[in-house]
Amino acid sequence: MAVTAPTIARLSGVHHHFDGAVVLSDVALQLGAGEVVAIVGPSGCGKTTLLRIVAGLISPARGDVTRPEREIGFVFQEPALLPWRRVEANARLLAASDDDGIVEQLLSVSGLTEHRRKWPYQLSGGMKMRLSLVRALAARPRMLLMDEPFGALDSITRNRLHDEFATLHKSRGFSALFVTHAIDEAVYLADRVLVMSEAPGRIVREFTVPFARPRTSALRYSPEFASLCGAIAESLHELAGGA
Amino acid sequence: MAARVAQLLKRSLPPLIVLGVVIAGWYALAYSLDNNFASGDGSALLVPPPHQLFVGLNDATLDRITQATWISLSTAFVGFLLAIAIGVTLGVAMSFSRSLESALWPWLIAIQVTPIIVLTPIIIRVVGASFGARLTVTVLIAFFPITSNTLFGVRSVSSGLHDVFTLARATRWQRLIRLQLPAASPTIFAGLRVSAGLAVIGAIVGDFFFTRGTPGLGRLITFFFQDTRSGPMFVTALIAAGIGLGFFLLVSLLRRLLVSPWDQP
Ligand SMILES: Nc1ncnc2c1ncn2[C@@H]1O[C@H](COP(=O)(O)OP(=O)(O)OP(=O)(O)O)[C@@H](O)[C@H]1O
Ligand SMILES: [Mg+2]
Repeated sequence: MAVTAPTIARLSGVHHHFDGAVVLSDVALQLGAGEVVAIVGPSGCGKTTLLRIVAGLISPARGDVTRPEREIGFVFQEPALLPWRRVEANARLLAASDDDGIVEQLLSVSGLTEHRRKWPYQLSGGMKMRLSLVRALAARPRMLLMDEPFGALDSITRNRLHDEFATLHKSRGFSALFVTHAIDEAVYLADRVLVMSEAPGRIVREFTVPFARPRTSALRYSPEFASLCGAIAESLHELAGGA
Repeated sequence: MAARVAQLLKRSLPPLIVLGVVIAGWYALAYSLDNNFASGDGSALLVPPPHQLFVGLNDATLDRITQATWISLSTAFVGFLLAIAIGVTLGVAMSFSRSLESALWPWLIAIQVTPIIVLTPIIIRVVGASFGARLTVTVLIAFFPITSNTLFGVRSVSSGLHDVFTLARATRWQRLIRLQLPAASPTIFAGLRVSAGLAVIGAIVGDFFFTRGTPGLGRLITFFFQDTRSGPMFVTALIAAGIGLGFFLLVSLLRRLLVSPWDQP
């Protein structure tokens, strides 16, 4: 799928620096239509910067970027909710006006329906994150960028949302590029997993995830799953240990 | 229910105690001043004790006070509304353009630091002794905290929220109305609270220079002062204080409705 599908976003030769410190060095990346790609890498290696470049929120110092003109969804590392809008209004913020059904559905699968009248300050960190995810998905993006979207959640909620995400992805067919610190999450959700090195960030390894969809939680306990996770973890350790 | 009453009592008790102390101090002052009471009818000459406030408040005096109150109240209110419109507009305009900000800012500071009392006669010469002059004085004294707070509030919207609007390809106008002004509203309200008091000061201080026509509270109080009519003078002062308090409460009420529900630390 990754190889044959038309490309929706592409980076090549991307360099970026902040105040002279090189953050990204010669990054190349492709995202196929309908593809799900995960990025893992040590903290501070430039994952957020990379996503922001893909989104067009920053222009790289050097390199080429192609991306869809519009319909880009972004789930930020810090859930950027409007404090003066209730949960429901935040969820609807970017949705088209005829999108009532999808907002309701998303609120319900993310367990936010009963909290719809609350203000953002009344939500827990995980609830804010879920709401931020709902808001991005309700906009029906063609390309979804997510920065540690499931980070602040307990494992049961997280696994449930993984499956909901996969279902939604199947029915909508958007492309997704997401950053995570959880290797099992990367493997469970993605078609490919990219491993980034310490700063200056580069993509040093790429793993193709061979598991057929739809994936079920049984997969999480299979030896193949464990061995792929192990291989990715090992390449991260090598990077950290300077082996 | 009982708990709420107890809560209310607990909250209002301290200010009520202070009120009692103030009234007691007022009485003490009234009765300790030499020559405070006329030898004939015993009416107060300098400081009327609270129960004598309304002595000597005949219909004609009451009429003058009512008219003056109306003049000062309408000046302060319309002036405050104008100050809000002008203050917010200036703040937003400066947030859009750094060069406009650097062009205007020193002059705004200059207006702000010039005592309004010296500007008032100039304004009356230029504008004429009209309602317009009264409004000008009020706006000049009251707009600045709104301008600076709007500018500051609109500028300090978090970059994360801006990113959301950038990706949604929001226009500058949508960004202003749907993001920046709501985000700045707590800060703007802090400015409104200061300006509300300033508008009342502007309306009353400006009045001192209006030598013709029906006097507002400012000039009326000087009349009562010159005629040593302490009762009406105190009543006028209390009304002015009441107007200031009313403005403050109005802003607080609006803040409670519009901002407090969601603006939690
Ligand atoms: N706006 C900025 N100005 C200056 N330096 C920045 C800026 N944004 C990021 N950096 C720097 O760039 C580097 C990469 O940051 P980035 O946020 O992309 O890392 P990350 O991989 O997302 O880390 P984490 O996993 O902790 O979220 C860091 O060293 C950071 O200090
Ligand atoms: Mg990050």
